[in-house]
Amino acid sequence: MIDFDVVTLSRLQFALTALYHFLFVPLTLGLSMLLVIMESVYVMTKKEIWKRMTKFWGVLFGINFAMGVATGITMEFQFGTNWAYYSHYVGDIFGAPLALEGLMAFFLESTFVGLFFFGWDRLSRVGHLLVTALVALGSSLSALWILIANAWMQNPAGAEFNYETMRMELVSFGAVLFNPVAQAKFVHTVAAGYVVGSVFVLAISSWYLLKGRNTEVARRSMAVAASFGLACSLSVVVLGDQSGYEASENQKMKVAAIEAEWETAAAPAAFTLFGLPDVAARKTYAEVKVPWLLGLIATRSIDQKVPGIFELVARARERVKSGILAHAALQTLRADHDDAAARAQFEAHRADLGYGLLLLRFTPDPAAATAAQIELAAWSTVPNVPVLFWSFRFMVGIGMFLVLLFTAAFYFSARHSFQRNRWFLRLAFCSLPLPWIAAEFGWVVAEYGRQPWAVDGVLPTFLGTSTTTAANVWLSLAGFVVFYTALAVVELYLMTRMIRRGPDGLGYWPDPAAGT
Amino acid sequence: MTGAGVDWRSRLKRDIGWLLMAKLGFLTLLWAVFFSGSHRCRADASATANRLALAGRPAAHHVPIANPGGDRCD
Repeated sequence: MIDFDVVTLSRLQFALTALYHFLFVPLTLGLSMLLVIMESVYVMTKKEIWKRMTKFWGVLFGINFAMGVATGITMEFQFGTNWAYYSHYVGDIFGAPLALEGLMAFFLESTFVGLFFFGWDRLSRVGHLLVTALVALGSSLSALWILIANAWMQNPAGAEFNYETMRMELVSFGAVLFNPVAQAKFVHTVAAGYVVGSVFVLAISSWYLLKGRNTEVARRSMAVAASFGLACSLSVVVLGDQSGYEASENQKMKVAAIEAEWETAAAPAAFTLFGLPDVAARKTYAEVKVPWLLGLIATRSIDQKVPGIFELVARARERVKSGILAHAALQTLRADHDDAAARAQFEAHRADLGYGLLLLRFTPDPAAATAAQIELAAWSTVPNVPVLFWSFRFMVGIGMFLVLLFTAAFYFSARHSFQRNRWFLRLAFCSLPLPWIAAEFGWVVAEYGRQPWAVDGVLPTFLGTSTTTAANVWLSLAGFVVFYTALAVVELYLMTRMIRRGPDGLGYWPDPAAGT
Repeated sequence: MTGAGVDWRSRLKRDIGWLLMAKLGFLTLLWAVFFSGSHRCRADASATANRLALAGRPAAHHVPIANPGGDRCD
């Protein structure tokens, strides 16, 4: 029997560790690219200040990088400890990109991080710039492989279920690699990381200008962050739109839940700017709508409908019924692999096997499911509507604010007037946590919106957990909370200490050698 | 090499040695608590079939599977 305490706790543990890990990842992605830009200016102009700037921001990058690695490893262990059935069921596909990510992170990224810190006096200017670029490339490639694995969970392309091994098996690595969801997710996530890095540099530099310290470093840093951040924040909006379009192609229920769209609206569908979704009444009250917008985002047309939750549940109901037939055929095939009739039935309904498995939450025998249980299974395909609705709107709202922030920063940078606009410096400093909040909301939309599936349409989440005890998961969860809290304290202590000391306190700038 | 330099190096070696020992001990503890054979979850084809209520029986006989069994980590 499935222990639903274990399911809930395992999900909680993975969500907490993933959300915590993603506090570090985007800053690593963003700062590494900003380091490349700063060092490129140094190589091109040979002005010492740009080298010193790269070194200073590199120290903050290094602290964050170390913490990010430490928090990422534990997530991979959880596939074995808490998600053993998931690992068996989809490990043939999921394992390859995870292994490649490990190679990228540990061999490429970590090796060049060492050379970045200890190679300043041993490598030529161009050689060191190449190392910094490889650190940034390694970070992005790590993200790419993780996002390929994650995208496969959202859109399981290039794999097929084998009833003899009882697992999904890879039939096309190319399809996994070039999964359109992976491409959209990768560019959106990496661009979001660049925005996080840019806001970080902008906010810390603003603090220095407000304090009247390190002004030479801060003004140059802000110029880089403003221009790079503006380009990236605009990219995040465009690429997020593409990500939404991909979701509307293969995860229509997620889009309907994000929109709290219960009924299918006439084309072109309006975008709900504000509303109060009521799950019990299956209605959204006090809606404020923008005509046409959802239709344009989700279908790139004005004549295609965006299906609502009721219509999608009706489709799910039919797929659950088809899944029952797939499950029954599989039952026979497990007893007799050569049963031609069962094989034919299975082939006809195999695409809906996952929907049949949803019934195991409500009955131990899908073949004996009642109409009420089929209805429950069909409605279980609807994720938590209010959470998705609001998470998406907070994410987008913050994203739009950051576009405005960077536009203003770019304007002040072009006019060399940062120091005359102290209100902007305060605003930029106070904006420091915003990109992290937006990024976390983004993951909530992506992963909570995937529920009830571990792998969309293939494996329900509750079937993926290990048959361990709730006490075991509680124990490891408590361990992670203690460990991660300690890491958070260390990270904040080291970061604030280094920022407070600044380029002047750390002896990077003004150049101590030039002053003597 | 000065005496201070030798002291510094030997202290560093000692500290690194202790750290490695502590790390090894911590990893052993983690292995014993979470990853040793007694904690490992068997999830092969037959266990997965049980998990998915696919014990392998003719489709005509819809016998509810009350206790899949054999898939506990114990």
